[in-house]
Amino acid sequence: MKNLVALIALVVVTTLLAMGQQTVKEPLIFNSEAHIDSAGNATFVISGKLNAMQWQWWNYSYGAGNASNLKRNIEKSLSSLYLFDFKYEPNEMDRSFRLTYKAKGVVRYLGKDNWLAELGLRETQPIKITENSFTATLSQNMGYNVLQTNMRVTLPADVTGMEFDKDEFNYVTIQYKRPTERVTTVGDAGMKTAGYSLLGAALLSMAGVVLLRKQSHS
Amino acid sequence: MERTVKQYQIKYKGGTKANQMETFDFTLPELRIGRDPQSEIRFDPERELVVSRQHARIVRQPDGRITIEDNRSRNGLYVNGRRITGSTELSPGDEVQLGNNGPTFIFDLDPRPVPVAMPTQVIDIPSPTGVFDAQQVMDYVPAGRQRAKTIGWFAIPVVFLLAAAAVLWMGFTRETAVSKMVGDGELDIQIFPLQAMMPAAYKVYANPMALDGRFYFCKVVVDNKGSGELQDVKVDYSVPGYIDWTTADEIRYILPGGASVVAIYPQFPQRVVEKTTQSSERMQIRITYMNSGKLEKYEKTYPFQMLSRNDYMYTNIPVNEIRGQQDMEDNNDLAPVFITPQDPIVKYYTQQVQEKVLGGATAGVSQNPQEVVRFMMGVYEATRRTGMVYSGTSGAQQEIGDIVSTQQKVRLPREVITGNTGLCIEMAFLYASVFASEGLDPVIFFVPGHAYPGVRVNGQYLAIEATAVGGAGLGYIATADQAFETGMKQLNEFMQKAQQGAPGYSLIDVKQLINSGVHPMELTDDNFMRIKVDQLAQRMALGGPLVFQQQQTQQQL
Repeated sequence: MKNLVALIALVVVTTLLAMGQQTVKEPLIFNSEAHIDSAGNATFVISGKLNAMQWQWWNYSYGAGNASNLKRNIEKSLSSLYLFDFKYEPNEMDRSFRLTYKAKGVVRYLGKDNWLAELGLRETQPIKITENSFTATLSQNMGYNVLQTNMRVTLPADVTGMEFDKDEFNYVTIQYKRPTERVTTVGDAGMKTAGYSLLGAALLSMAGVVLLRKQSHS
Repeated sequence: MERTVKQYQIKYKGGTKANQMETFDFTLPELRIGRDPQSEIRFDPERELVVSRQHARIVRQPDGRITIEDNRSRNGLYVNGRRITGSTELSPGDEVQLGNNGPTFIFDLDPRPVPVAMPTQVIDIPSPTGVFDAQQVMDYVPAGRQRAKTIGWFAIPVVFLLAAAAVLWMGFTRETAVSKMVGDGELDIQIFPLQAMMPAAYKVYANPMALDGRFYFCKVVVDNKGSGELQDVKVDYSVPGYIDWTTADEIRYILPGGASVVAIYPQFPQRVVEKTTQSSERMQIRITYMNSGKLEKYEKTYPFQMLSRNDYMYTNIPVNEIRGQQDMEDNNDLAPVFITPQDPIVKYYTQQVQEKVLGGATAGVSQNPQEVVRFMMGVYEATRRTGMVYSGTSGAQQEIGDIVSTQQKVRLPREVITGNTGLCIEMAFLYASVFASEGLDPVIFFVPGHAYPGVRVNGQYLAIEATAVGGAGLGYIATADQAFETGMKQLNEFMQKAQQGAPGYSLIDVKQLINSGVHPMELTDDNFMRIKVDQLAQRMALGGPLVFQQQQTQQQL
């Protein structure tokens, strides 16, 4: 009996090992688009079209059956951002979906027209496409499936000098220049300009009046 | 009619020469004023002390004008009541005073020249003759020059006033360098704190790199909903009794409409893993920022539950939001914090298993599946020989909505060893600790209501049913072969279910998670526990080295 059991065990092991060699699966391929606005916030659009097996797994794990889990997972994976306005639109007939959400805190303004964006990208090499857009390919292990995400990021149209770097945690950072909007306004935020101009005008006016008075006396 | 100035007239009004008059020939180019004996207009050196020795002088200019200059006198020079510095033009009839309350005289010319502005006057204009024979009236005050002088006098104050207007206009219409910087910023803050923390996971909470920063302790979202920028926004936090005020992040600017997100990863001291009871703690958050040049501050305190070191929360998702098995297992990735291969007691126990059960063999250096299976079965055999008891599934989540069991007391592997009993999850943690201690890649398989250990070798999985010992397990005490067989059957089912995406079927790859920053707690050596392990080792040795049927089977094959 013991021999039989051991034999069964060995067969199971061998079978699983053999199965493992055959289970090279087709990766899930998602397309992601991120549009960053002038205030430094972003809108993400993710879409994917899956095969039958992938669709079944997706729906069990994240999709229509448990979209809130998908939301939580995305929120956790982008911990440096604040995500909101999630919308998930599955298309059962086509085995596809479209997910959108918005993000705050994507970009920081560094002053002097310099901006720094961080999208939670790691282990990828962004490729600049235009002056204000780039692509990146991400690969991620999702349990029993490999997810490949082809991402395209579009920055505001007036961006120049886009450069990629990495921060201390190895996340990709995107630094660029963008002129902030110029508006005719009442001085600056602290009204310092207006204050100084009032002071200057008062002094000049006083000098003018004194000279006038002197003139009238003479 | 010709009117030629012949002499200067000085009519004293005050001082020692009051009511006297002196005349000086107009050919003199200047008249010196002072107490100096050389002065033409001389004052008493003993009594007119307010007058300087060389107080001033009256000068006939080449263009015919008469000017008076102050020679930097101590008490000043006044013309028509106004103090003058430097030089000023002097006209007939002007009153000159030397020092405040000093002597006074009226300056005059004899005869006085006729102003050209008087139209009824008819005068002869002789040709210019030379140096200063310009006694002609027209030479004295030329008409064009007078007009220009008048215009100049008016132009200066007008220029000043125009400049004032220009400065005012520029100041109020300057284009700013940053958009929408009109007015004040308006801070809007959202804080998402953790409701409860597992001390065992303190290294994960502290590490922004761990699992891509997923297990932050608190997230602060700072929005600027105003129309001006916010500057120097600083987010500080503290946990009284554990962490002093610490700066989480500093943000130079937040523009109108913009936002910044700060995830807080607090560095709790190692002593939190000594906590054996729960307690209520609080986190303080302080945000300071500059708004329109003013320093403003926001403070908030949040309570949270600090669990004991043995508490394992299956999920951090609020109970009323849990809707699936995956939600129940949201913290599965934190499980490795209870897997302690570096624990001296676990290492000692592993050493005893190898020595007493496996006859000194080791599986740690090999990636041969058969050797790995042998080691797995050896660990099981050790628990069987020492009479380890499976305590049942109490505490493990049983079903969705099982609120009580979202949190469970988990004995650490060293406590399972010395207590010789454990739940399925606890025994799985023990096996994983021993496997990792030997350099294997342990995994733990989660199925609804149960968990069991395994090893990943050469990209494949092996599993063993650790609870097939005494107690509420399979209903009988299985042999090592039977435990392995049961484990592999369960693994087969697991793979099918997991690939279908069946809820509740998940695994954790301990090595992968440790590499992702999920580091176990640090534990110190304990002599009492070592003695207990020694006692267990004596029982392990009773059966002698384990004979593996697989080896025999292979030989038969």
